[in-house]
Amino acid sequence: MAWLNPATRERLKRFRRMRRAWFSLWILMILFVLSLFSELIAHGTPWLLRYEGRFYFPRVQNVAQDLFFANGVRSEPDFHRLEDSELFADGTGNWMLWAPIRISPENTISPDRIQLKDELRVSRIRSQRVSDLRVNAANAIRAGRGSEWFLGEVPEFPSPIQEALATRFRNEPSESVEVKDASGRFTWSLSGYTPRASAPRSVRIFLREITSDNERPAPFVIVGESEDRPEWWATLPDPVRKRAEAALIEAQTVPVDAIPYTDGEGNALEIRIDKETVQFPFRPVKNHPFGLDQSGRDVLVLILYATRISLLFGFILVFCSMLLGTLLGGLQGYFGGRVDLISQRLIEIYSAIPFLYAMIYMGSVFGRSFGLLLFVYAVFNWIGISYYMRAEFLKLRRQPFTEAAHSLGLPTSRIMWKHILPNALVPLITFFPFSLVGAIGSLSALDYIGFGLPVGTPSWGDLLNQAQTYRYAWWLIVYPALTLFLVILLGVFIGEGLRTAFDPKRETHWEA
Amino acid sequence: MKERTEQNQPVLRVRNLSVAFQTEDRRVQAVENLSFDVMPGEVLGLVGESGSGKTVTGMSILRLNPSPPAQYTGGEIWFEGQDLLKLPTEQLREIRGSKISAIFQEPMTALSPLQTVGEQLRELLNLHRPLMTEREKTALVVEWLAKVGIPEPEKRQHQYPFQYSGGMRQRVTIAMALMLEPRLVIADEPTTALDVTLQAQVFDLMMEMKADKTSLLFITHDMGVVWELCDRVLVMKEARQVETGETNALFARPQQDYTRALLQAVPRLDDAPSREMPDFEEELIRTENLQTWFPIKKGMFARTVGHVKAVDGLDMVIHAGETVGIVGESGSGKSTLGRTLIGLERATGGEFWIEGQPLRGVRGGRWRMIRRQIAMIFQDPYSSLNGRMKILDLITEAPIVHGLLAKPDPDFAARWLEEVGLEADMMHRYPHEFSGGQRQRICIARVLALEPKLIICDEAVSALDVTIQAQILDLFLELRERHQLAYLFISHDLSVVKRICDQVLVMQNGKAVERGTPSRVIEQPEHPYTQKLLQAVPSPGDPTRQRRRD
Repeated sequence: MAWLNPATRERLKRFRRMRRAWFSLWILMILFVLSLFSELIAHGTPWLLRYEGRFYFPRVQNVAQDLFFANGVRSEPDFHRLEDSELFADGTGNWMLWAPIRISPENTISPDRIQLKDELRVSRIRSQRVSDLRVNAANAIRAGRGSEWFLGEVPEFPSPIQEALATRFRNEPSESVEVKDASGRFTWSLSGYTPRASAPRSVRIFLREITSDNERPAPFVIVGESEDRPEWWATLPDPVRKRAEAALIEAQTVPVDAIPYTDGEGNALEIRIDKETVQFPFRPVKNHPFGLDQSGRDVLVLILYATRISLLFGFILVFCSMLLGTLLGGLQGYFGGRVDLISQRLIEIYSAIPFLYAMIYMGSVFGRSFGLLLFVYAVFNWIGISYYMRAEFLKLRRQPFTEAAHSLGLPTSRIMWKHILPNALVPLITFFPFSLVGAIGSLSALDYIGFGLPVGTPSWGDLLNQAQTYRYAWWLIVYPALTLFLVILLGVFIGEGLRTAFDPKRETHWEA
Repeated sequence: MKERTEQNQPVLRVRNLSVAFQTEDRRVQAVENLSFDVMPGEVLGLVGESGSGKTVTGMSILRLNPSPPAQYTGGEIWFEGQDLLKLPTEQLREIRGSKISAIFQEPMTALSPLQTVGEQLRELLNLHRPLMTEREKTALVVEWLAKVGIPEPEKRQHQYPFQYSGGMRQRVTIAMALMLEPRLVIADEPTTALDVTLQAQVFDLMMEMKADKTSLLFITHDMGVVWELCDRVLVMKEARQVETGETNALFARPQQDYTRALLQAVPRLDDAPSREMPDFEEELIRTENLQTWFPIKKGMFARTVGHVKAVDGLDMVIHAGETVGIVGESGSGKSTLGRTLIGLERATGGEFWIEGQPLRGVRGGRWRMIRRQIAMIFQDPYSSLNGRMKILDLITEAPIVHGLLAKPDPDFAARWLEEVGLEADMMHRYPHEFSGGQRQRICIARVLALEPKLIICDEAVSALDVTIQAQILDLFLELRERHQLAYLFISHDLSVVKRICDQVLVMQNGKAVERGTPSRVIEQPEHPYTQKLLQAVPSPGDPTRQRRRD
């Protein structure tokens, strides 16, 4: 650090003494460096492969299926399955060296490779009987399916129902009606009625069994091939139990329908047998601690790669816009007068172009890409910085040391470069973390609304967008949001520290 | 009898005051074991060079030092039977402004730009005289504005500070300090930012105030001001008291070497000129009817509605090896003249030549070549060196650009540093490690390295302490002989000009109103403006002149 100006060294020393900012800087840097080496942490292709005494580097060279199966296929094999196969069994001397996480961000995890618990959930649910009747003006009845259980042979209408029927046949308006039957086992009901051109020829009456409220016992869990059965299993009628046993076996592979039956007391029941199936987005499971997204990609790996893209984007963007902003702001500030006046007006016009519009337009013309997004962003982002640099240069060009440099006959370029610029850097340095945080935030926002990076690029914003569709998928919102929060928090802490360290008027307060 | 005892009780008693500043890695003792009294109606001068602790002493009385890191490590400050250092802040606030008030150096920043002058004065009354009616407050404000010599106070009280001139603003701050009739006023270099004629006005005002039995603690580095105003003097150096005594006695018979050195270093109007006027032959610079006007622009389209005629038709000749002094009040155009000659401002009329080459209309690259022959030294040595470059680079930069050197050559830098009385090994350090005097020497070394024919010194010694000022002036004289340099010496200080110059030009409103040898101009001034300037110059120990305190 000896090459640094002592004033700068003093400021850095002050910065280092602010522990929160200093630690944040370290954490962010470690995070950044780690994310730069994401491929070493997570990748779906083995780094090194030994097969029949020779080494192969599948990441670098094309290792064809032909090598293993002699089938003439030039494309790469599925290394995961290959490793599980006999060719790579213990003792063959063949092996693969993988990254700690064997998944690439673009890999779609096949559902059968997700290790679910081998469980069946069996439950018996009481079903509610329903039926209907159609009645015409002559009180002739056409009974719906299952109505015998309710009415027996001769239905007897309760008087409110009879009245309701009468008003409907008179084509008069009527509210909906619901009446409990004298037996107390079911209800009668009629829906509301508005008069029509002519009186109805028939009216529908609904019958509903009254069941005790929502009996939903916890399902019984049968693990694997276990012989455990729920207590009620033995009470099932033989044919039903046989069908249920068969369904248990069938359910191991495909979803099965519920089995309805009627018990000795005449209650309608059904037996449901469920096995959890993999549907994307899928919750965190073993080997995928952050869950899977809508297309079956591992969220942890996506976040890792998205961190790299976000931070890289942020760093490059802020660097470019600071370069542009300093150059243009500096020129304006230094030359002042007419140059300043005209370029300020041009910038005002220019900055009125809506960024989002430009982004969408350019994206549709050139196709969305990281480079284009960076370019469009940088082309707009420098304006803010240029205001600061303009003000700095405007101030510094009237400083005695600049005038002294002039009076010594130094050329303008040298005065700007050696005398003004080094003294104007403070706002750039203190601004850097905040700009970085801003850039990262806006990238996520753009991805979220779907105008950011190309579809399929790992991105926090894209995950958040998916979470909007699958609202139960909490893992799609919690993990990316936490990462975004962490990075922004670190950036703000660093920025705060730098600002305090570089503030010329720090800690002056009066005893008042 | 009672009145006599009252008379003899000091207003302020400072006993063994010690103040230290704690910075991150070191501790600076700013004031050490200082004791003094201020009697009623007395003016006590606190004199010392920068860094001697005089300002910290003044600020300690009101506890206005930035805190932390100021620490009052010992001593007592007694005022009206209370130790101000131990007083709770609320009670101290009662005293601040009403019983003890302060006047600061910078009149430009002491007033809030967003409130009218009248409002700011009334605010003080709102705080300390809550029982007064609005009408009484306004009457008092107008009365005080009139007292400090603001014309049309009724109307002027509704104006904002920017509508006041620098001298008027300083007079407003004095009104603020005096309006509540405090028993003690602490004045910290109240006239340093003003030129001599304004300074004289302010002094007269302070003397009136003394007649009202208000005591004054006057902090200054200027021995001339002390001679004019103070009854007693306390000389400080490096946080300690050097000497104290009655002004007359101290000036006549200083007891300490430091005081003697301080008094000797003060340039005086009756100093002998540094050399007999030699015969100059070769003409270096000639100006004829030189004009530098700045347009005054107004309105949306920045129409030029008039001009500030900073330099307005000036004829002047500087010979090779000659030292020409330019004197005048601030705003008389003397700085602009210097800046025009070196091309920092563009001349708008007339002609000027260097060694017969016309300079008017020269632009860009040609000017850069001419700047090898003309150099400039600025007033503030702190801001005229780029703090991000090493001394070596600062000195060698321009010679490299002008093709005199191929690379930053340490031997080259060493030669010029030694030429101005600095050590060669300083070249590897940065400007902030040097004192004001050393920095000004670095500035001189930097321009000397180009071996110019003319050096324009724009108030080059006015920001320096007297002893340093004398050293730098000696350096200028020495270099003049060794390198046959011509100087254009711009200064508001007539005594400095008299010491060094062969020719003096008195400027007023961009025009030269009088010119001649310094002895002639100072002893027999012809123009009334020159006479007024001379009247205003404080001249310590000059028994022929009436002092204000008498």
